[in-house]
Amino acid sequence: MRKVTLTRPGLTLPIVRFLTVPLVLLAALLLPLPASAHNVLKGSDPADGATVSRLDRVTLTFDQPVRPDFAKLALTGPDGGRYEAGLTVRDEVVTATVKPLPSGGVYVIGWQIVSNDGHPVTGTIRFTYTPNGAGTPTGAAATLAPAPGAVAAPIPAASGGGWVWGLLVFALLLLALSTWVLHRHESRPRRAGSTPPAHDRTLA
Amino acid sequence: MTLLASRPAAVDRRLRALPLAGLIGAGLTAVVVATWATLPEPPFGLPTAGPWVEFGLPVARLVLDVAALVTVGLSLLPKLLGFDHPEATEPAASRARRWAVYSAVVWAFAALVSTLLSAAEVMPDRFPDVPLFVDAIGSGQGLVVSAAAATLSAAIGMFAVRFGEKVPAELRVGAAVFGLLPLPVTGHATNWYWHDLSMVAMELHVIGAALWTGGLLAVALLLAADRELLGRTLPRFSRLATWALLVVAASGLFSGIVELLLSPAVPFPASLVTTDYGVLVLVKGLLAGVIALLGANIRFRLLPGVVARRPTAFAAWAAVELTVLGLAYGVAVVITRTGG
Repeated sequence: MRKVTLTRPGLTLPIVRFLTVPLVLLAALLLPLPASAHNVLKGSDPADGATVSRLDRVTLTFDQPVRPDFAKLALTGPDGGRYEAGLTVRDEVVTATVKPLPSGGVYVIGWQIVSNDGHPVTGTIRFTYTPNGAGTPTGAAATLAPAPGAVAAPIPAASGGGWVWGLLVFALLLLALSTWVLHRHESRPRRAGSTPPAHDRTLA
Repeated sequence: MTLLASRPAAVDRRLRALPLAGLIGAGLTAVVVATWATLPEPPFGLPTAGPWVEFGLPVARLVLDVAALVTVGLSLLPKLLGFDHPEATEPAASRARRWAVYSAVVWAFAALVSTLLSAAEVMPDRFPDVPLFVDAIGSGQGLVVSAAAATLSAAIGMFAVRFGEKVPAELRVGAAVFGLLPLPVTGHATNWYWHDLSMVAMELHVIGAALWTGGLLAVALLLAADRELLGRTLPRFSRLATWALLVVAASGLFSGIVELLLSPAVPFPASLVTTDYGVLVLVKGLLAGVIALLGANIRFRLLPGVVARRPTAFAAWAAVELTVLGLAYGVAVVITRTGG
């Protein structure tokens, strides 16, 4: 009798389980959906591996708007020098103006943004710069004004939220206290043997 | 099992912790391996947070997840034991109450450490400004809320330790489950149309996994040695586990595939194998299949014996299942970091 009650659900459940998988798969395939959780780099100018003869600015395009506060970009030259000037963020486009590049060679862009879900997303882009005429650097870049409506990426100021640190310390103290109290509670009856804990005796 | 019965008590007691050791050991292994395998190339010329944060953060998140599921499972145990025979169930229930407080404390601590390391990950060039991080980024707020919920859970657990089952088990389960909710909500994007449905799927996934894994762990840790209690409790847990398995599998598939479909960089079927995220989803699907088989083994092969109070290999099989669950949890932590 016991056996019957136990095996009956077992006969139906695998079928349900096997139906669930294709159904959910099908549903997921049929739904047309936009956007994703993580911010993804869609394209860059200059592109990875490209060869350019003129460079005013570096542009990275993402699939979602980028948080301006944590965006970072470094343009490193073949000599190890840094050539990025200012960084602006406008919706999903991150633009860095570029200092005059001294010579041709392989330049590297390293970038980091913080995705909508709080995880940093990083990448590296390499491109080759071959100037047209020697000794004529494309120096206009430094005077480039940011596009209208652009948000200059501010360096996040140290926030005045000391209360969070206070809260952290308070939480840690509370946790330590509760562990200690619990530990005492646990060991007291054992040490006392059959006699009740002290507070019970005082009440009685 | 006759072997187990003939072992000295000290060895037996050490073996009883095997399910927890399997869960944590497998989780740590999976986290470290998956993190190492998906480590992105550091951005050239920019400061990076370094290995302490790169590996420490996933490990802290795993500790958070495991401590939360242990809290949920131990809070759930009195419900599974039932309240008809308090004299028989009280020893196990009282141990569950005490350990639930310890795990809630570990949970809160892991959430605070995760907050600190997350802040360090976002601003690698300076000392982590935790207030700024919490203020600016949703997942920071999620971690703080999770830590607060864990502290609340510990506080309610303290009352339960003091006053026993007069503190309703539902309240303890509710507080612990509430602490699971903020992380999936804040850890993901909020700007697309199917967001609500996806969030519900995520929440169901997390709750189902915690009830199932935590419940199994609590039963394996506290009841495996007591044939009478196990025989009374395991059928109740088994019903819960079946539903949890269905919910977890369906919601996990939905979330994983939606995420892959939405990725603009790589088309869907290819992205299963070409992206880190896709590979992790495949690995987790595989693990889910293994776990389902192991769960079926306990339910259909061992349960009749357990119900008949016969000696069975339940403890060993539960340890195996929890080890595979630990692997899945480890992979899950890395999944949320690479794409979800």
